[in-house]
Amino acid sequence: MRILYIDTSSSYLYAAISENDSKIVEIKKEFGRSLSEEALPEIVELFQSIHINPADIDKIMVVSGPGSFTGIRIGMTIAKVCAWSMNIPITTITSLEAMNISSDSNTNRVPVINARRGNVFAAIYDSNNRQIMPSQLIKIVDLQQKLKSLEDYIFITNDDIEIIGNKESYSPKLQRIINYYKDKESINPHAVNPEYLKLTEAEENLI
Amino acid sequence: MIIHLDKENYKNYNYLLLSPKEVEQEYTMNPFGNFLVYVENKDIIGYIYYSDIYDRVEINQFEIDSSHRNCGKGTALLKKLINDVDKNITLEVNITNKVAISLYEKLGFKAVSLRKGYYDGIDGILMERNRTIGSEKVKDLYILGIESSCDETSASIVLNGTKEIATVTSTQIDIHKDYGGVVPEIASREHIKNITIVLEDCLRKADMNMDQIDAIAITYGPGLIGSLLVGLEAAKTLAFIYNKPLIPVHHIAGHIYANSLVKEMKFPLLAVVVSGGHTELIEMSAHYKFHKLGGTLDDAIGECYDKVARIMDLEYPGGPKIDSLSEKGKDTYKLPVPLKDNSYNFSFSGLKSAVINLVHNEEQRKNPIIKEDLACSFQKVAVEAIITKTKKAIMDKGLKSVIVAGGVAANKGLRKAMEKLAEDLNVELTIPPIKYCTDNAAMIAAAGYFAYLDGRRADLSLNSKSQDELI
Repeated sequence: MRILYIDTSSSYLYAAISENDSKIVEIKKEFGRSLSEEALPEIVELFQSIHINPADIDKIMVVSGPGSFTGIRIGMTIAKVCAWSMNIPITTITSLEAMNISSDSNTNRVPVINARRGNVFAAIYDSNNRQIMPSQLIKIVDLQQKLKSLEDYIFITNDDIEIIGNKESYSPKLQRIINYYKDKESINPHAVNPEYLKLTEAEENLI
Repeated sequence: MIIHLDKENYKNYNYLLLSPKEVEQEYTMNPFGNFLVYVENKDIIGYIYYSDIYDRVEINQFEIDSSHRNCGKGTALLKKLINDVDKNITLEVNITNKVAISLYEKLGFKAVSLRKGYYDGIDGILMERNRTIGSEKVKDLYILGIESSCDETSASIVLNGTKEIATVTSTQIDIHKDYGGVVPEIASREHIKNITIVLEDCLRKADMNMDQIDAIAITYGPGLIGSLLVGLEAAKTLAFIYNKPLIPVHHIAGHIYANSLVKEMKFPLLAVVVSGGHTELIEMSAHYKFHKLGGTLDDAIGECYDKVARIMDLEYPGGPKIDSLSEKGKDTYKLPVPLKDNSYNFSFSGLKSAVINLVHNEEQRKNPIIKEDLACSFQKVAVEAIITKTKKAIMDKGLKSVIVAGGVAANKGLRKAMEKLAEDLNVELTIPPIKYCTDNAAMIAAAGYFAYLDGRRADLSLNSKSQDELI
């Protein structure tokens, strides 16, 4: 079973083709502004490196956010169009789920992504990956308040966030993420959409 | 999708018709042997087994799984072979197989000789397709166009840059209405929701599949960057999956080539581009040879219309509302004709300010604004600015043909004035119907065809550009 994994929700491109539970080709590269120029050529190179065609993929797993709005749309458009046009099953996971699964810490885990103006995108998982708090946009002060009830926890982040507590950086373990979520139910490609967790400013102002 | 079966990875598929063992056998026995296969969900549902023997190709076997017949898949497979090998092709067919014979004839094969009793006593026909057939006549090209530069997600298939096969456009006008204009982030979010639905509907409407498309044309700019990127990534992904040429199209070239869907373009011509983002006079000496004579120094004409509409409390998009109000009004308000000079340039921000001042002054004097009359006076001056410079360009350059392009080409006042100008100067005028004036992918596919003939191609690193000159 070959799974194509795409995550463009941050300033990094994380992409992989997992051939089975142990064999994988992957790319982890910082892009910043030129993501749209380089994402697809990098993914094409993954295919070429193992001499397969797009049609040889059995499933697509794409990170739906939260994170950079424009970044998410780049990876998700590629994933959506692949899944739709070749009729391949597709499933989405959140960037916070990917961060949690990649952690080796044996405590409660709190992946956080900077959402500016004192806000973060965050979720809380216990050491058995059970969700204690679902993915959401939350004020840092409110998050810290919630965390008071937990004995121990660790933040997972690659962003520069002013937050009090132990932190570890996010280093994605793509094979582990894919293995963990590979049987997750697939969805109709037309219905695959980013999870922004945040309205646009124009919508907020209208409310 | 159709692929040439790789000698390394032929085992990766499910075989409905052959077996991997047979493929392996043919590959070892026949050094000229090749398989072109039609793959769906990893199933090989059809194949052509052929021998590529120096200067010619012989089709040894051609089969489509019985549950996948009569839907153009065989035609697509054979067309792909003809395209890819570019050699004389021969084959033998059972004389009773009328369906196959008619397919071969349709694609340029001719009977050369009869082979008596070739198929267990039934005659076989040897057919040949001469490779020069294709190159004598320009090959038909089906271009898939994709447009997402602002608030319309659109896909279209156009044949040879002139014939619209199918177009599907999802517009967001009602969504942006509440905000008085297009909100870029909302537009981008809508594009990604709609993109695959629009593509699927377009292919279904055309009754075609991606294998029958010859190239993909995409609006790379100018426009809203977040919006452009959704269409661009979709186009690049399809170009990768189906191994199709990718053609970058400038949005304004698209507006100009909307005219090619109406009538053959005759050169040299003057293109008058009037839209929400552009006001330009472009001289064209031939297909895809653009020379910009002049453009707006500040606001585009459509932008000016929308801003004036907002001052007048008209609902977004206000341009068309000014146009229809003006029909009911009289020219009573005095407004300055912008940029009366010797250039081919335009300026509309002064006109917009004049309207703001006028409305403000009338309010101070407690005079109610008569919207119909203000619309009429404004439209008269705005149209006059376009007509004056258009006339100058036609006369200076001795042009015989004028085309109008862009969203504002839908403006009835401008259309009328252009028609009169064309009559006075005895030049041929083309204005596309309204459905081709607003943003649509048919115009992108049409422009894409001529860009393709001009040799323009992009690779998968193509990026969107929010601003870019048309060259």
